[in-house]
This record gives sequence, structure tokens and C-alpha cells, in this order.
Amino acid sequence: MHCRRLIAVTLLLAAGATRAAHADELRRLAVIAGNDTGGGDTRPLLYARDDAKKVYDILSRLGGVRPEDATLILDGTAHDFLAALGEMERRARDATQHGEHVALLVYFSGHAKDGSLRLGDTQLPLEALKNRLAQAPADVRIGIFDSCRSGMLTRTKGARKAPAFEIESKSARDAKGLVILTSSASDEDSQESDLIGGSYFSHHLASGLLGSADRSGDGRVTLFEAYAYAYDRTVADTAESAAGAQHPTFSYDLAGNGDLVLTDVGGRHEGLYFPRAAPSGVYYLVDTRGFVAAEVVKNADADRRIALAPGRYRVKRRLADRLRVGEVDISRGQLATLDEARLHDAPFADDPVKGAGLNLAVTRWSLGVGGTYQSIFDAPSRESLFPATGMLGLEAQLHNFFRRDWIWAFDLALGSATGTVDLSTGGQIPFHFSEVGLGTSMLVEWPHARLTPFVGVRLALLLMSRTFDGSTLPEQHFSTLSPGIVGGLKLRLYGDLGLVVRGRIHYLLYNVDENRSLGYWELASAVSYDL
Amino acid sequence: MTCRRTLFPLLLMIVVGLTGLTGAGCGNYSNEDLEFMSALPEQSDLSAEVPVRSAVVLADTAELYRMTRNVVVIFNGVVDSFLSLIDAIRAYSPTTRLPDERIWGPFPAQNQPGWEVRMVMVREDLATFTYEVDFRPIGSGDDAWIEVIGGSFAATGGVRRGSGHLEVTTAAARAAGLDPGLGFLDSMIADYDNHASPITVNLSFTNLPNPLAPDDPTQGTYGFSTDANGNGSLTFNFSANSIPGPVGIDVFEVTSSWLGSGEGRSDLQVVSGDAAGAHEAQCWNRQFQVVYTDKPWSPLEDIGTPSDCPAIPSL
Repeated sequence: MHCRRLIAVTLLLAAGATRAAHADELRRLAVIAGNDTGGGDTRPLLYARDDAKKVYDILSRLGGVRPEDATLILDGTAHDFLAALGEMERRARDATQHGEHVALLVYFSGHAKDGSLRLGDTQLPLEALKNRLAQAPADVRIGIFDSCRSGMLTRTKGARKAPAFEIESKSARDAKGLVILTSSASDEDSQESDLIGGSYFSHHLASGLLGSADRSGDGRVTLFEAYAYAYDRTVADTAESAAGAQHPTFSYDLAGNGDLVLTDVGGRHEGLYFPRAAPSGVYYLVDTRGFVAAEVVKNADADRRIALAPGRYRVKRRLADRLRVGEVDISRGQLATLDEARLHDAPFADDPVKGAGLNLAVTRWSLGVGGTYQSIFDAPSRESLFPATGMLGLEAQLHNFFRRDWIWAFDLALGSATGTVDLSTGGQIPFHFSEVGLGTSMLVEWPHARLTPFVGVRLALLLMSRTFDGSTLPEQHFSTLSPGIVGGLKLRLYGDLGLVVRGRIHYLLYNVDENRSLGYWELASAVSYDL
Repeated sequence: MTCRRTLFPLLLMIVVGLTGLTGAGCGNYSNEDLEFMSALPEQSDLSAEVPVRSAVVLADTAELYRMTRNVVVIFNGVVDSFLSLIDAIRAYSPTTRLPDERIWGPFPAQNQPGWEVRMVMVREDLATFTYEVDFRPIGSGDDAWIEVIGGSFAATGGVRRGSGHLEVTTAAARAAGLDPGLGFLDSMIADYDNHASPITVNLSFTNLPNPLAPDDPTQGTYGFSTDANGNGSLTFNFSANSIPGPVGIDVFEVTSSWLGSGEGRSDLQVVSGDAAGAHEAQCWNRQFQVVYTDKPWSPLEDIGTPSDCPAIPSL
């Protein structure tokens, strides 16, 4: 568990002036940001970006936010954030002028300190941000801040602290004003959990938005339902933590009463349905990466519908002496029903919730072995100087050492080929070519359930030589440093085994006969194993 | 700490990458070097070969075949003496690469304390190369180089295919106190052409008198040619007191020719001596046994008839 998490989420939803043509529509705009870093005086967070991506995905999929109306900023700066907010303000202004109801939602997950959000080495004063949100040209503005001591936002003038469930639900267009949710009180840290792979607050908020918070059972999750659910679950989960209980806060300054539907889980055809007869308890739905995609509180005599994205999930329910576990497939467009009979007993040692986030976020090694094919772009040089070569190689990767999702890789490859030198005077000299490549790469990866794309830069030391059969010609050799770029995909096969497909493009300066700038490409595949 | 961790590898890679971009490559990996080195003769380009069945020369082996074979050994030894020097230098990559020029060395000369050696090759045009092997006392200036071997090669297609000219001159080096390691060889001129069949090598040499072997020839010429079928011919001269008489040393010129299958013929002409103008002819079969001999100054050795001799096309 990580504490001192500063996660600020700002959701500003504004429901604007009503005009006849758009009276029943609510245009939803969202700026969603996550930043793991907060400057040199803060420790990097592990899951702020994941939280932002999760919220972005849910709002795009279930929250009625059109893709072009949502901006996701990962590890951006304050300038990026304000620029995105300015763009959404412009759209909100245009929309309201056309008679649309507008809700503006701003979410931030990351560091906050000394009254400012921290976005890398840049800062964004909370008070200024709040004022800007208050003046945003939208009917409803909602700010959600998941960051340490973010509760100071709800202490400021003009906002009333509200109990969780006392807001009457009305149509969205009746709601006007400013609502702010924070992940913790003004004197509390916000905490992350390696076990769930995210911050407690954002995790429970996301679970709630997926349907867990739908207390009314109408298939729609309102802002207040989501907050109430996130509040309960966050307090419960952090009550026994070393950092102490974390209390999310909620404040509003609404001109009218009303609630806002944040997600429509009933309108989705796909997801997981918990029938009324399913045993009560807390269910964990774990994705293929091992992350808890949703945490569902199933009450007795109530059904529950969770709008999970298509995929395979492991289901876990914890009993006093054992676990009940099983798997469920969510197909696109289909609502799967949880069948208790398909769950089986398992000891606690087989808990599928093992902290995949920890595994992905901490420094770790992986090893790979595979083959590479290398070829110079320039045909004459490829034919008579450095022939296309098949190579066998090893690679060791150090994950999350410098930064999360950054990989420092080291590779070694050996290969040989044959070629022919065409003499300008006529005649050919056949030769045997051999090469040793030593490389180091700095990569950035984007882990997903099964596929993990990655890109980066690489610097290789190439040691090449050739010999000539049946001749007194001496062996020739050439060594050089070769910078290049790398891109590829890693496919998770089974357990810790993966298949890596990678392409590289390198620059090679040949300078013996003359200075000749060459480039070469490599295609490689390897089997990798995560240690 | 986060920033430092982030920036360090980036800075490292940028610095090292820029180093690589600005010319960190090194080595002798050069196609142009191969062009130069392929213009230098190898031993196989200049050596002579005669058909051989066995390393042992049997008693009934034809006398002039045996003589031809011995001369080939001497011929190849002379060729090897100076080509080994070129080979030794060529075993290394050029020390200096200039446009249309390569220089090997200077290296300390083997077995020649106080001397160093270099080889300079110049590409005169696309297909013509010249080269020279020079010696000088270590520490002396550029004008102190003494050329011992000089040559040229005109490529006509194929690796080391073309015509070459090579000269060895030891007088200047010996005068400067250098023993070039070529025995009593004073000078030598070789011309060869291996562009097409037949391959020809013509070599003439002048030796210094050998006080331990005053009868050794001080001059000699060899003309060797061979075709792709193994047919060949060798013309050489030698001096010996072979014909009884008052003159003593006789000078002979021999032309031997053979088929790839082994049969051959030699014609010996007495250039000067006790039987000046006389001519001996001898033919042998595939086992190198005499089938025909016509030796005017020793009629008892005559056997066979001219029709017993193989038909050998001229090269």
C-alpha cells in the first residue's frame, strides 16, 4: 500500500441553459488527467495514470461523453491541463450558445502539495483552478480531485459540505452549479493500493460507475450514488491502514436541486449480471492482467448489473474460511449472468487478487531469447559490405527502474551470413560475415490485458568481421556505435511467458573507405519470461 | 530522485549516441582495400607446375623430365622468395588509406635490425595498380627509402586476373648495408599474364657469384606457360660440364612441354661448349619413362623413334 498519494479529480458537469431544440440532451465534456510525478520533492505515484485511464474509459463507454469531447492527459503539464480545459470551455460556450445543456467534468489524479496540484515539475494552484471551474461556461461543473489533502477544496468559501445521500434525484437539466469531490479530507493523505492496482478512491469510484453504486437499481449511476459508494468503500478499506482512514469529501454549490446521471449501465447490452439469488457479499472481478476491474457489493435480495468491458474475468468472493472463485467471459453485446454453481471453493493461497499492480509497478527483470533478421536499406552496401544477417539473441529487461512503464533493456545477438564483394576491376570475392551486437534500449510500454505495445530508443555496439576463403586476404573487422529506434508488441501467452515481436531502425556510420551514412532495419521475435 | 533517474539514461544515450554519430566506427572493413590487395600477385599466380605422379623420382624416369622438374622447384623457390615478402605485408590491412593509394607500414624489417619496410600501392586508373616495397634505416627521412621490389598490375577482370610486371633490385639495398634476405639474387624481372589461358610467366634473374658454389649460374631465364587442361611448357637455360671435351662448362637451353596426362618432351640445345649447336630430344610416357631419346654426343642412350613421342599442342 502506498500513502501520501495526492490524487485530485475534478469533475465539472454543467447543465446549461435550456433551449427547445436541445432541451432533452446533455452535452458532456470531460478533461481527465493523471500524473504519476509531482516534482523533485515528491515520491512518484504508481497508479495515477491508470486511474485516469480507467475513468476516461468508463466515461467514454458508459458516461455519454463523445470521444471528441473527452481529453485524456497522462503525465502532462499544468499547461497541457489548462489548454485542454480551455478547449472544453470553448466548446461548452459554443454548445450553450446553440441551446445545449452542458456538463463539464474535470478529473485529476496525481500529486498535490502546498495548495497546488502537481503535474510533473509544474504546479496548478487549487484555488485558481476552483475559481476557473466556478466560472466555466457550463451548466454543471464537476471537479473530482484524487490527491492528498484535496479536501481543502471543499473547505473553501462558497461550497457547502454535504452528507452523502441527501440529494434528491431529478432530471439532469435541473442541476446547475459546481460540485467538487475529493478523495480525502484536507488533513489526510490519499492512498494507493498495490493489491487493487490503483487508488482506493478512484478504484471505488470506478467500480461504482460500472454499476456497483446503482443503489436505486434503475440501471443508472448518479453523481451522488457514485460518491456515496466511493465514500463508504474508501473509508472501509482504509480504516485499518497504517496511514489511517481516508475520508472523501463532497461539496456542491448548486443553484437548483438535482442529480446528474454519470453512467448508464442499464443501457449497455454487455456486462455481468448478478441475479437476486446470488449470495450477498463483496465480489472482485479481476481482469487478465490481475487488476481488480470492479469491486461489487452484492446485497441480499437485490440484483446488480456491472457494465464490464468485453473480456475474461476471474470472479472472487471471500468467505470466512475460503474463497469462491471462477471465471466469466463477457462477450461484446452480451450480458453474462453470474452462476454461483460455476464458482468453486479455493484456499486463500489461490486468491486471484494478488497485487498485479505491484508486479507491474515495481522494479523487476524479464529475460528473452529469440531470433532477429537484420538488413541494410542500401542495396549495394547490403550486397557487398554488410549482408543481411540472421541472428540469435538474448535480452534482459529491467522494468520500472527509472520510472514506471519504462524499460531499460540489454541485448546480445550473434549472427553470420555470406556475401560477395564485386570488384570494380571485375571478379568477385566471396566472404563469410559474422556479427556480434550489444545493445541497450530505453523503452516505454503501455501494458494491456494481453498486448503490450512499446517504443523506445536503442544504442547498439556492432562488432562485424568477415573472412575470405582460400585467400591470403586478411580478416576485416568493423565496430561502431549505432543509435536507433525500437517499437513492438508483447503478447502474453501463459503466465509469465510472453511472445515479443519487435522492429528496429538504426543508423550506421561506415567510415573506412569513406563516410557513408547507412540505415538498417531489424525484425525480431522472442519468447520472454518475467522473473 | 525521480527526475534524476529519468534523465540519467536519456543523457547517457544521447551522449553516447552523438559519439557514435560523429565517427566512432573503426576497423579495416574495406572493399577498396580488397581492390588493392587483389592486384598483388600470389604464389599460385606465378608458380609453375609439372605433372607429378609421386614425390619420389624413380630410376627409370626420363632424364630431361627430371631436369625440368628440378628446375620448376628452383623456379618456384625464386618466385616464393620475393612473394613471401609481399604476402607478409599483405597479411595486414593498410596502415594509411589515401585516395587511390594505400600504404602498409612502415614496419620493422624482419631479421634486419635497424631497418624498416613499407609497401606503397597506387591506383593509376581504374584497372592499373603499381606497387613497391621499400626499405630504409629506422629514423631516416622519406628520401631514404630504397626500392627493392617494384611492380605493376593491369587488371582485366576477375580476382588477380590480368597482366603484371615485377622487378627486384637488390644492388642499392646491398650498397646501403641491407641484406634483403633474397640470397644471392641481384636482380630479377618477371612478367606474367593470367587473364586467359594459357597463363604465361617469364622470369629472368641475375645472381651474385656464390663463393661457395662458383659453378652456379649467375644468370637465368625461365619461360613458363600452362593452359586450363594442365598442358604446359617450360623454357630455361642452365650451365654444366655435361659434355666431355676440352671446353668444360657447357651452356644449354631447354624447352620442355607436356600434356596434363603426364606425357612430355624436352628439346635441349647446346648453346655453347664442347658440343655447341648440338641438339638432344627426349620423350616420356605417362609414367615419365623414356620412350624416345636422340642424344648425338651419346648415341648409346638413343632409344625409340620420333613417332613414339606424344603430340603436344603449342601454347
